[in-house]
Amino acid sequence: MNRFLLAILPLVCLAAGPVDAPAPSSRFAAIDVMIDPKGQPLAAWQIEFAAETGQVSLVGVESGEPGAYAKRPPYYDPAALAGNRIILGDYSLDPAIPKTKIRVARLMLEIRGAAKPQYVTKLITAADPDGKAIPANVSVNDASQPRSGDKK
Amino acid sequence: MPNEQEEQLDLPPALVDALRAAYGRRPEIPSGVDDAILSAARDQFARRRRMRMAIRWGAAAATGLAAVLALVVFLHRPLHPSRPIARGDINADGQLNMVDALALARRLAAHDRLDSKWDINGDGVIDQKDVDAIANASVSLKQTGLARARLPGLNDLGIGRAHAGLASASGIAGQARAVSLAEASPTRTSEGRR
Repeated sequence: MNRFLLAILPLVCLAAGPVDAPAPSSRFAAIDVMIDPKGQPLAAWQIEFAAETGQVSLVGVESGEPGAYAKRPPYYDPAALAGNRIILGDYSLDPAIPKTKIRVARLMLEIRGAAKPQYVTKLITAADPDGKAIPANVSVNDASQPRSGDKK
Repeated sequence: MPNEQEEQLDLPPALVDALRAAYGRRPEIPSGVDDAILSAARDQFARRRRMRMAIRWGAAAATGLAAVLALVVFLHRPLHPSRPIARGDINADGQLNMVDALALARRLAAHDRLDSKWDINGDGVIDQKDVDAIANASVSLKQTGLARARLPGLNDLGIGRAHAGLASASGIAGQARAVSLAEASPTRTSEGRR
């Protein structure tokens, strides 16, 4: 009897064990948020970013490239983490305010599944040191893909 | 005519005589009574006339006063309709965003005169914490106002999902603008290149 039990024990364990399901693929990506103030000094900015489709979660926010917006990460709502929408913004009193295209923040995302993530950004405000609105372009690019000429 | 009626009525002669005796001659009214009645009537009409005049003058005065009041209100109206200024709206543009944080930070850095209403966190001191409070409020996902407006979806912007990898938007603050992939093309990446 004992031998029989010992014999079937591995089978019972195998039957009771978890079924090997294909684990959902997950990867991390860094998305650079770029603002081009078109020659005007960018003293304050605020944008909204959202991932349109796919299982995308924000996992972190980092500061911009060395310069006026590198001293600290931009302001954001911590509630945005683990979600797919965030409002970012920052200001700078630095005398060397950027006037050309600059990376103002880097978003760390977790992307689950194979769906191609799609991102949308919207400029909420961009202003010069006097608080006057200035035209600017906001764009994002995938920093996890190294490219020549990238400022990292 | 009365005679014809009398004849038609065929009244007894005695009754006819009695009626003629009763109503045939006018009663004598003293001239004083006529004068008194005439005077009372004139007083009455004069009173009514005065009342009508008072009503007319009163209405005219009320109309004039209303016109003057309307003119005064019109001349003293604010040139720009007042908008409710949110707490932290330092530049009073009706929006709470990062420009307000910049404005307060600049005033603090320049040691400008500070308004007590800029004590956002209510700790009795206007300092960097208030700047941070404004900045944090402006990026809050629960905020109301411009930034709370729904972000346009790719479909709203007319971008096919099959073609969009990364999109960008730009423009002057507050202006929703169509996303242009062409602008994003220099920095556009595709998941397929990974």
